[in-house]
Amino acid sequence: MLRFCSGDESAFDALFERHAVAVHGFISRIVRDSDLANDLLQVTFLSVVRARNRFQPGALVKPWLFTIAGNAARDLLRHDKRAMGSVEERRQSRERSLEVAFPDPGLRRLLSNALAALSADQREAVLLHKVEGWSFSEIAAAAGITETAARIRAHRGYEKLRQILGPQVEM
Amino acid sequence: MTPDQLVSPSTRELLDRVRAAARHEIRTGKPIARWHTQLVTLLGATLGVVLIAAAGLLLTGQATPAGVLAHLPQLGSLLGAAVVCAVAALWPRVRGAGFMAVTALLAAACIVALRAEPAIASESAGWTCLVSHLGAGSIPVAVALWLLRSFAPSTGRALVAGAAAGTTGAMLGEMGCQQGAMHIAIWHLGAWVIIATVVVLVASRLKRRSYAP
Repeated sequence: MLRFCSGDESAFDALFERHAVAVHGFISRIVRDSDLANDLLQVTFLSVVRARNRFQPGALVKPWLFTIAGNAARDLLRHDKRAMGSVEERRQSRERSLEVAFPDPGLRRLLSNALAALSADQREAVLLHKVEGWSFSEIAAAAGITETAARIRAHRGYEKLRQILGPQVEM
Repeated sequence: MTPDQLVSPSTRELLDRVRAAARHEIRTGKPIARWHTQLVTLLGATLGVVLIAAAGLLLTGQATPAGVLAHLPQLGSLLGAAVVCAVAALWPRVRGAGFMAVTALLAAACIVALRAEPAIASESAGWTCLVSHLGAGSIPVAVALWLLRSFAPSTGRALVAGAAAGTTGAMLGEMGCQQGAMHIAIWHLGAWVIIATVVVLVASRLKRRSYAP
């Protein structure tokens, strides 16, 4: 990244090869629409090129890329009418993920009721982390918060779920 | 297995297209302003308007050198708030600077609002100050919005950028307006709040050049 920042164009190719697929996967998991994800991948790397001088030496590249991708995806989801459908798709996809993770309908209903008692932020963090297997850095980048804040959201969500479900479910 | 074999042909096609677009962007060689260059641009717009308008006020007799000197503490605090807010808006590591910006803004607002009552208050209508402050702030607001296009959407960043632009009218008010604290609190600080709000609202709808923090 530092070689790229200092003008080495070949360093961009190395950076792109190393991270582009992961960034695309991350964006796809946010927007759930392949066309939007493809557009956002281009927006993300154009942003990287245009803001490369703002990269802080010593910082990690992957979280920085994920933060840019998350910013672009959130902005699109807020403003683009085309993306509105993908919000509903995201919700349906999460429900499907819950079905796969917890095939027992009784347990799933219990969990759904408990999840409904969490705040929207806590629910999002718990579902992304536990059900969809996202890392906290990915959740942080997608939500536009720090990794610590993402951990705290999920932790509070788990605590609340434990209180509600008691010993019935091992989280 | 090479990386090329790990991705599908359609994904490889997408990656090639995105890489080509990024390389084209690199080769166009558009200059990338560093944050301190952007800082100088925003402060230059703010202070440039203040200096030009101040010259106009002095030449037309609407302000006197003695009156300007009497308001140096207020002007100094507003200038300080403008610098701190501009740094907070444009510095890549904005989190720590945000607190300083809020502190500087509150200090400047208090110093301006609590200034001594003038011996002879002018009789001009309050809204003339509001309109002139909004007019004076329009160029710094445009510059702030232009700079914000290079950043990811952030209400906090837009707010402090708007506050920096809003100091333009507040500084002119200190030079050209001889009214009391209530007038200052309503019309001068009101104009400042309007400018910051406009920047926040418009910035959230800007088409971005970059989504980097």
